[in-house]
Amino acid sequence: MRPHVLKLRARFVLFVLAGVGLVSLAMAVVTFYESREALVEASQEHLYEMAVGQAAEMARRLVRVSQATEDLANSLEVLPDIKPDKINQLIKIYIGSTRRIYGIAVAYMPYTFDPSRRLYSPYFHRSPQGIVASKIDSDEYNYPRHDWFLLPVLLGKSLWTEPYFGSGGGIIMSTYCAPLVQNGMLKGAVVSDISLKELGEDVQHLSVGRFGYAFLLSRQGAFLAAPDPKMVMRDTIFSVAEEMNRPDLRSLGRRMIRGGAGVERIKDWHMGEAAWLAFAPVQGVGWSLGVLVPESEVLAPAYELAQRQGLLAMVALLLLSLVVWLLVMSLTRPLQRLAAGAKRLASGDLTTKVEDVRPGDEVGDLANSFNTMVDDLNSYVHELTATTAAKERIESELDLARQIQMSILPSTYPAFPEHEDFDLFAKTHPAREVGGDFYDFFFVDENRLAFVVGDVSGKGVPAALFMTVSRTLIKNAALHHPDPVEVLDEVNAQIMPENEMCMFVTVFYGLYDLKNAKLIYSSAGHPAPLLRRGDGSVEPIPVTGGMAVGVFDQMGLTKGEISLEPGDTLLVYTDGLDEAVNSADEQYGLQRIKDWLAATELADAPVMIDRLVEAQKEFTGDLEQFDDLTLLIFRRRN
Amino acid sequence: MQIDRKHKRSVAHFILALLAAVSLVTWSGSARALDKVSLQLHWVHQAQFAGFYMAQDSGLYKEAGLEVEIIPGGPGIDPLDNLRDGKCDFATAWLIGAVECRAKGTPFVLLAQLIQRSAMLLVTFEDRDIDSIKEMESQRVGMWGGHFNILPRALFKRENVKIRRIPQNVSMAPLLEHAVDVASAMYYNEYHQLYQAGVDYDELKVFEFANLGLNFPEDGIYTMQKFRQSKPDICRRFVQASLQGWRLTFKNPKRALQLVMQRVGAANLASNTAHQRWMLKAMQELISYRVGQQGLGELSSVDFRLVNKVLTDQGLISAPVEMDTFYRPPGGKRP
Repeated sequence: MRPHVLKLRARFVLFVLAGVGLVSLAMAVVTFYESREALVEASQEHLYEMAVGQAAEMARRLVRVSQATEDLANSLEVLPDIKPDKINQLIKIYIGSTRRIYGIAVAYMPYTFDPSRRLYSPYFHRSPQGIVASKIDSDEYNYPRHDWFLLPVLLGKSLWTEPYFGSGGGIIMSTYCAPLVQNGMLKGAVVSDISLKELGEDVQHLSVGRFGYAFLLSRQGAFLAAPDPKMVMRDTIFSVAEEMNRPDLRSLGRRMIRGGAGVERIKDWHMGEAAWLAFAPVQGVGWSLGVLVPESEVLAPAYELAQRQGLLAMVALLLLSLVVWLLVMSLTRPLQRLAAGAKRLASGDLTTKVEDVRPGDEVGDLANSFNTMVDDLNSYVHELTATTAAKERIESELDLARQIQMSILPSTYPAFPEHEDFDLFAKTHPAREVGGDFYDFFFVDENRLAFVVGDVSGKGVPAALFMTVSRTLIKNAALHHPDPVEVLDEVNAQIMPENEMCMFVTVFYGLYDLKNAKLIYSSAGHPAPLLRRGDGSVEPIPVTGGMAVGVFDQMGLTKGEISLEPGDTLLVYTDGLDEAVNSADEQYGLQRIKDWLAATELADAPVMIDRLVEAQKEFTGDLEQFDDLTLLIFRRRN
Repeated sequence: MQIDRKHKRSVAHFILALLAAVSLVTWSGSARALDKVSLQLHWVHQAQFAGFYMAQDSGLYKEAGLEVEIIPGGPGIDPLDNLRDGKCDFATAWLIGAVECRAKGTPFVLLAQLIQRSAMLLVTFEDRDIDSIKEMESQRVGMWGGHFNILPRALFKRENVKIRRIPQNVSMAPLLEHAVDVASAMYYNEYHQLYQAGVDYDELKVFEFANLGLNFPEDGIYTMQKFRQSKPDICRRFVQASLQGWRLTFKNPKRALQLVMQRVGAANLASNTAHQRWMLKAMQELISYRVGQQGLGELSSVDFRLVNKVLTDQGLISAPVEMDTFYRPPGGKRP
């Protein structure tokens, strides 16, 4: 399984932060858009009100100019025979009394004021030197061709002109021109100039936010006031639209000069960004005031709010992560202690205890269980130690018993060095520490050699004890009786009454006479020994009847007798040899023993015994020895 | 250190001296060749005269050995009067005005005819329902002063229409304020001014003189006959450089527009780039009309006859002006 990249602590913090962060982000976005919409709506209304209000304020200021002009025209109307210096005086008074008037001219139709003079138009205007006169009734200027004279005269009504450069006043101006009527006759025009520089300053002083601005359009769309003063007089909103290829601006301009009012989102031609434009007509003048605020400024509060929220969310997230961190710490610290404890325990420290874990929650339960487990483990280990000690004691005792058992069986070779006419050796391999098999050989008198191989039923300690008894009894009986049958009967008679355990023992008892090389023998339920003759043939020696010792009172034993030629070899064995099985559950069997004995090279008895054991091991393989195994080899030497 | 610096300084001195010598030679050479002449324009600085600005600012006049002073015109300034009075060496003017003056005895000669097609219009609002010249009967018609009203007067006489003539100045405000019903306009100027005052073209009804059988060539370069005879070389150099200036203008209208706007701005004129761009484009059409760029400056004898005829019919002149004495392109006529 793929391991976690992050520790529990980091994972907790990360997941909680991500979750809470996402929720806050979503909320911030929703808030932003909602506040944005609200702001746009509110600012549209605000902007529109501002445009209307400022247009009204502009109209009020212009009315002072137009009113003064009309007043002067009215005054002159009732003074048809006024002298030139009186006209001049009146003009100066009116200029002086109306702050926004830059200059005033009273222009007469050709030959009207003085029939001998084609043009007559006194003109005064402000200057750094005070109110000064300027000549505009020259043939060169020819005022009757100019809009400010032509239009009021032609139309017979008052109006404001388009912006133009007034060469008389030397500034860019717009002029309010009123027709002059005397005695019911149109006599000329009374006109007042206003400085568009001054007007532009007024308009720029309208507070339109930090980055917004206001502008003023004439009836023909010309800029009377603009963010860039260079545009005044030279540009119209339509020339800007043409220059920038902005049909939207053109149609907006047409709405504006037709006296429309409204709010529109446009791309600002001056700053080049999205902006909101409110426009309203300057009543009574026919001009249009536009108020423009960049959308970024309109939305600034929304962005500010979003920023503040973002900051707040950051701080909150920071605090939250601290809290989560502490919480997870309180969870993982006991877990870490538990892990360290487990590690210590694994390394064998059974005194391990997990302390400092507050009980009451799941982790506390875990620590509790851990401690209980350590306690249980401790007591188990103690028991195990005791048991092991006991077992070890028994094993050492058994080992001692085995040594004792082995030591009571003759194990020297050659057993009888003084007798060179036969070879004799035997060996027993108990299946456990001690076994029930036994053998023995001894001289009963000078010429007769007795040898015994026995196999006690069962294995282990009981069999070993029984075997010791049997061996002693046989040796005892052998010294008193010359006949093998008698020896065994005697032993049976002694065992039977005390055999409460119903154990029994099979015994082969042989008595070899060195003088005539005859072997008399008897077998109590024991497998028949095998004899290899000098010619290499192998046959079991004839054995008839006979029960094992310790089963019935009467065993029905018979005595057998064979003569041994020099070189004849007798193999006496217990069933541990032929009944041994291999992994395929096949017995080693009599035939294999016979074949081995026939084929094997004759050698000293211990060597042959070792070889036979090896041959049998080869057959059984790694399978554990199941029964005690005892082998005895006797050969008549030449 | 000390030696090094000295060495550098001496090298610098040498280079400076060399530069001074070279510039002295070239300056004295050119100074010797420059002839001072002046050109009176028949209107304020605008794209109508872009070719002359180009010739001046691109050094074409200088190359031709001329130092040209360009004098802007305007309301109240009659370039032909100034030319007659010796206030300038060359002047631009309308053909019709020059022919009239010539017929009356002032010996003006035409050196090059620039505008080949009449750009003059009568304009009215579509919603005034004036669909023909006849329908202008007793309407208020704005008309310019001087030679600029000969054409409309000839038209109304021909059509036998009586109108109320209203003097018209530079501004189109009278039409826009409905102080007149019909206004005079130049295609390249006033017509577009109306557009820049928020009037869409389809809101206007336009009568082109060129389509009313009165295609009078307009702007041309004039000088006095005496000047033409005594200084034919200066005339040739001036006209060729001016025409080359126009060719350069058509080749590089962006640069030409810059030169125009420099002068418009300096003169504090109520105009803007978009307007001058329109005018420049129109000028190219009008100047290369029929003759193409190679034939720049030619006068069509057909047009000339028409001008003579109208002026005679009007009673403005008693006898037609001879083309051969009037039209004297320096370097000879093209075959």
